[in-house]
This record gives sequence, structure tokens and C-alpha cells, in this order.
Amino acid sequence: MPDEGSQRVGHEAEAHLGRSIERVVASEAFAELLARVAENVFALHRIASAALDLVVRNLRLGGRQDLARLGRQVGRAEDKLERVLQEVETLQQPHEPQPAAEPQPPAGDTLATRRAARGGAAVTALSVGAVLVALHPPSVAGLEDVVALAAGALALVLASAWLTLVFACRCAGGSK
Amino acid sequence: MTTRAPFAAAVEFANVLLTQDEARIGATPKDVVWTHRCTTLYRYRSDRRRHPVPVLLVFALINRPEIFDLRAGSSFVEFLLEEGFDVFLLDWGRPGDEDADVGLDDYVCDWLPWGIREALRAAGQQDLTLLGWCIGGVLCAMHAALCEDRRVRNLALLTTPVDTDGSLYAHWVRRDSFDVDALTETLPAMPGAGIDLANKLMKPVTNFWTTYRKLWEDVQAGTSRRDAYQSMAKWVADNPPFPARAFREWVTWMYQRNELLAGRIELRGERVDLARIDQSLLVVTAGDDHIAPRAGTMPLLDRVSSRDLTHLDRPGGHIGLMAGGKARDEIWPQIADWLGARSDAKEKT
Repeated sequence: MPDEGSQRVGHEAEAHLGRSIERVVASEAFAELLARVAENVFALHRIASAALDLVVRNLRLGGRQDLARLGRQVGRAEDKLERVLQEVETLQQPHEPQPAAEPQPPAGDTLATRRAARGGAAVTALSVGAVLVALHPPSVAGLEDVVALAAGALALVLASAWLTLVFACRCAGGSK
Repeated sequence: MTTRAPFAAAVEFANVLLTQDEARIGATPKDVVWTHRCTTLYRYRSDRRRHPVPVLLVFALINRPEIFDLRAGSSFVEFLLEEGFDVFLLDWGRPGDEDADVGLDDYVCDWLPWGIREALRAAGQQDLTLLGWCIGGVLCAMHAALCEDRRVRNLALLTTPVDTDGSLYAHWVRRDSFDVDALTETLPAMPGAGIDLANKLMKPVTNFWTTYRKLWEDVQAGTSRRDAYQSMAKWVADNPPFPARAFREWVTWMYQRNELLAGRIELRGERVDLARIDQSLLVVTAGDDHIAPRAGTMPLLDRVSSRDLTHLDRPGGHIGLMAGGKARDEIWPQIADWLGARSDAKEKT
């Protein structure tokens, strides 16, 4: 084993050489050389691959490109499957019970309550409208009367619907 | 100091080099949680989980994520488990020719968020910590900068390149003679060995001579740590291919045009805006990092809108900082402290 002195000199020389070569690799010429060498290597690879592919194809054998194409299709299918799975999970989420920490009712329940309220409002509005028409048959003698009647009926229908909705929502909230 | 005879030392030296593939790396027990194409999400087994917020580790597209779990006694994963964290690892796998059309958007917009979703599902939590290293850090940052993902509570970026102006890589590829399109049209996946060679050319004497000289001296002096050398050498030599489209985008966007910092990268029509990063953010830089120099990471600190921002700058190289002999006593405890303070179940920082 060399003595410490010569070892130290060796390490210093190595460090000096390292710094010098790092300057070389950081130079413009080296970068240009690296780019050209890389391009040449890849070009040779392309030529060799093309020639080999031609041979394999003429032998009617499945080559690397064919396998890659199949693999790509499998990969795409897997991507689609993952997305479908996520969509299914998203669709399933409203029907799953929510954790107790979350105070809001599940989205599905809210939708059902609103739907029932809207139905009730529509039935009530229709009934009230029918009774009004029976009690006071509309006169078609004048256009003003018709417009006034339609506006009054519409206001009544909207007010009834709104009231029904308010009461229905309160009932749904209370039962929860 | 007793030294070995030259012949015995030569035999030992050759043996260490020739049997390096037998080194056991990434050995901490783990379970597969989810797989998609070549991506696999692992969860490390532990009966000491104290912190509810899990940690999802994301490594680069070059080299393998085993560096997080190099060997027993020198494993960041093992350390995190001992500290009571629930640790997940997103492994990008080994892309093949069939993955030629995989781009950065696939990693950032699909596989990473899907991995997050599966990790959260497995852990039964609402949010997690994303810890990315090198390109993995860029992918994590891009994800956080693309959408305000509330599932990511904390973001830790280790030696992550953001601004590539002045870097040696940029010097090599910012020239007309380097036609990245031609390269990626030729090969469906860039060979890992080629990328490794380029990395080593940045410090040729260190990588091609000093490493072996030091090993020889240690073997001669009888102080060589076979397991330490072999595990690192095995990891360094394991280079998966880089999908062609992702490689083209990486080189073009990051090194030729430096677009990440300028906010000009768009993934699937959405701009990657670093100002959107508002999570608790830890940025770790290494003083001697020649791959992601500190100067190339610092501008990130000015771009993000995180109010809880921590920067750790320590001596060490790109990999040595986290996987070197001193990491266990220096940087790992600091990272664990930072994570621990932000991994509480209730309080969001």
C-alpha cells in the first residue's frame, strides 16, 4: 500500500483531474459532440431495427412492434377500465350512508324530498285552479278579462306551490 | 493499520463488484394496494402507526424508488415507520415499448391522483402528505399546481429541479443539434442506461474512477462495508426506461424552454401554476447537488402561495443527502419532525 504522502498527492491529482474534466464536459464542444454522438447512435439503432423488423415481418412472425402495439391496446383498455370503475364508484357514493360526523343528509334523500314536495305542490295547484275555474267560469268576451284571469290564476298557483313546498320541506326536516 | 495482501484484496475487490446484484434492497415488508399498468402502490407494514395522515412517497422516472428503502439500518422508509407514520410508495414501474405514448400528463393528471385516492382509501383518511424526490418532486409539484387538491395536506419536495437555467443538462440539450424529437421517434422508451451514462458524465472522474478507487482502498485497509457499497451500486445500476413522450416533454418543457417556472406548461388544457401550491410546503436542497442545484430549486419558494413554508439546505449530493451515511442522524429526523407537526388528525395547518 502506498505511503500517506503519495496517497495524498494521488488524491489531489485526482481532484484536480476531476475539476478539469468537469470543465471539459461543461464546454460547448463537448455538448455539441454529445448531441452528435447521441444522434448517430440512435440513427444506427433505427437502421438496425428497421432491417431486423423487415426480416421478421417477411418471415411472418410477430415482432417487437406487434407486441408493443398489443401492449398499448391493453394499456388503453386498462385506462378506460379504471375510469369506468371510478365513474361507477362516483355513482354509488350517493347511496352509501354518510359518516355520522357530517351533518348534511345524503344527497339522494334531499333529492327525494324535493321531488315529493314538487309533486305535492303541483297537485295542490291543479286542484285550486280547477275549483276556481268551476266557481267562476272565465268570460271570453273581453281580452282584458282573460289576461287578468290568467295572471290571477298564475299568481295563485305559484303561491300555493311555494307554500306547499315550504311545508313539505319542513315536514321532511322534522321527521329527520 | 493492517492491510491486506494485494492479491487477497484484489480477489475481495472483484468479489464485491461481481456480486453486487445479490445485494438486497427495498426489503422492508410491504403490501400491494393498487396496480395500474406499470404503476404500483405499496403500503409498508407497521404496527406502530401514530400519525393519522399517511405519507405517500413518489420517486423519479429514472432509477428505482428502492432508494427510499435501501437496506436495513439505512432506510428512510424504515425510519418513518419507526417514527409512527403510515407510509405508502408509488412505484412507476418499468415502462416498456408499449408505453411510448405515456406523457407527463398521464403521471400528473391520472396515475398520481389515482394513487392518492387509493392510498387514502386504504388508510381511511381524508388527506395525506406527498413527498416527492427529484423528478418525483416535480410531478408532485405539478399536481399541486394544476388543481387545488384538498386531499394533499402537506407537500415535501426533496432536491427538486424547478428552474433549469444554468444547469449542465440545459447546456447539453439547448442546442439545435440535440433533436429530442428525432430521438424519441426512434425509440419508444429511452434506455435507462443511456440516461444513466449522461448523468455520470456530469462528474466523470467521480463516477468512473473515484468510487472504485475508494472501494479498493477500503478493501485493502479491511474497512470496506460490502453491504453499503453493494446496495448503492445495485440501485445506481438499475435504470428503468423513460417513456418516449414523457422524455420529450421533460426535456423540452423543463430543460430546453424552462417552462415550469414561467408557468407555461399546460396539461390537458389546464395551466400548471406554481402559485396554486398553498399546502404546507417543505423544500429540501443539497449544497453539493449537481443534478438539481440549490439555485434551481430556490425560485420555487417565491412562486408558491403556501403560508407554511420550510426550507432545509444541508450539505450533500443529490442522492447522498437522503441516502448517505449521515442522513439517518441529520436530515431524516428533521423531515420526520416537520411531518409529525403537520400530521395531526384534527388540526389543519
